[in-house]
Amino acid sequence: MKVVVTGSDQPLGALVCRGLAPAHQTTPAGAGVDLRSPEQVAALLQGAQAIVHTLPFAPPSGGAAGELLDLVARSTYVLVQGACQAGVPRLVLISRLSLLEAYPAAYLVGPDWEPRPRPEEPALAPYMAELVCREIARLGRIEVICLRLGELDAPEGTSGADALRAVETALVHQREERHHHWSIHHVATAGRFAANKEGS
Amino acid sequence: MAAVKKGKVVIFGAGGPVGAAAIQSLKDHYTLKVTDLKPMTEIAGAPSPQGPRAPVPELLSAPHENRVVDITNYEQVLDACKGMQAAINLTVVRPHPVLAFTVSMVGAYNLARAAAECGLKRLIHTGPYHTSLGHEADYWNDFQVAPEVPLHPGDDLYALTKYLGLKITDCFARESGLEVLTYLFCSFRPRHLTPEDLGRGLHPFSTSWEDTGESFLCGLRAPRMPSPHEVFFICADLPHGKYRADKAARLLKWKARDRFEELYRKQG
Repeated sequence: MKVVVTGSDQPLGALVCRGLAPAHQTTPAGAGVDLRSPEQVAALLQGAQAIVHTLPFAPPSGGAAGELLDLVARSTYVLVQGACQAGVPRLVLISRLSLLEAYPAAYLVGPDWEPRPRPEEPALAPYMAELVCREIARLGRIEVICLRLGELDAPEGTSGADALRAVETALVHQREERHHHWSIHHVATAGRFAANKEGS
Repeated sequence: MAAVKKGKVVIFGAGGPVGAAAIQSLKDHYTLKVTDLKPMTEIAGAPSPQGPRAPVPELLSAPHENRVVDITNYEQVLDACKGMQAAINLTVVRPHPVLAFTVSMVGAYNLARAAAECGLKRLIHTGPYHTSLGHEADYWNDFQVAPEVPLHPGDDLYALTKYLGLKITDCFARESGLEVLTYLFCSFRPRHLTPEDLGRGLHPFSTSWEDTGESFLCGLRAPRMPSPHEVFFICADLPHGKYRADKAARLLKWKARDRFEELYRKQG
């Protein structure tokens, strides 16, 4: 399968590229590709059969106020729209479990709990990516599987191995007819969200 | 937060017809800071891009203030919010692939952040209610649709970017103590009807410009809301039974005067 991986210049994207390489043909898209450019995205997606969109998990920091939001939301919009136009059937979105950290730690918080991001750009950015993907997936032209991860390889986060396993599973997952085109899965190796670890 | 019965109110994106209507309703009750990306002198001297029947903002003089503010620039937004009791966000860019995001989404972020930082009592956020977006989840075939219904913007650039701005504003309301009223609009028309208008039918989500302006006065004066973020359909109570106007009547004490019966009553 030809898989485009965004955010490939960040640790998670690089891990996904390396991990998928034995079984898939990966196309890394790092800082050298402007995902906000429809032309560059169209060229990137030629022949692609799936996308792993890790950019919202770890976008580059810095820039003026609002730049991070614009980068993540607009690049996600251009990417998903480009995927629909190119006939790419599936996108795996990597988002963050921190969208739910406002809930008491004693609660069993799962994907059916409403995100409550802090009103700060780094917290809002992956939420924007989720909303863009969810609303476009609702139209039925692309399937989006959202994987929410904790900090990569942190003591209470998500291990690289678990993250990679979840991505691999998402890429080959068979959506049943009449099921939604948007789904969320929590992937936590340890910490407060681990009770809802995928597959448990 | 308490109602804003007097004091200073800043309006962003005031150069459009909704801004014109808001200015008319608020100018005698508040000291306004009227802002837009273009100078208000330029806007007030030109016809409305939305046609000859859409209102054009009146150019206000002191004690009111007119100021050029770019909603995408946080420092400008923050500066405009200082000393204000409330803010109204009327900014929007519809079809532009870049500005739709920077104005409708980043602009909403900038204003909510600045409003929270400045301790404003109330923010009135605005956006569209798209009654028909051409997909099966747009509620077009439903009736008695209430303003709390989750919006489904699909891939429509205008609808989606305003939706993102609304969700960001919602996060600020929930987490920062900012009280937000979101007004959703759809079809505007002038109060005054021409003979050609009569019997031509009416969009089921319609409001006159004049009633729209009054909704801002009601929104600022309304008592504390049941939750930090309340969403309202600003529409006339029409017999179609599609879009519910009762929440605005209940919480804002706003009810559209213009119900345009002459438009949906058979003529002759």
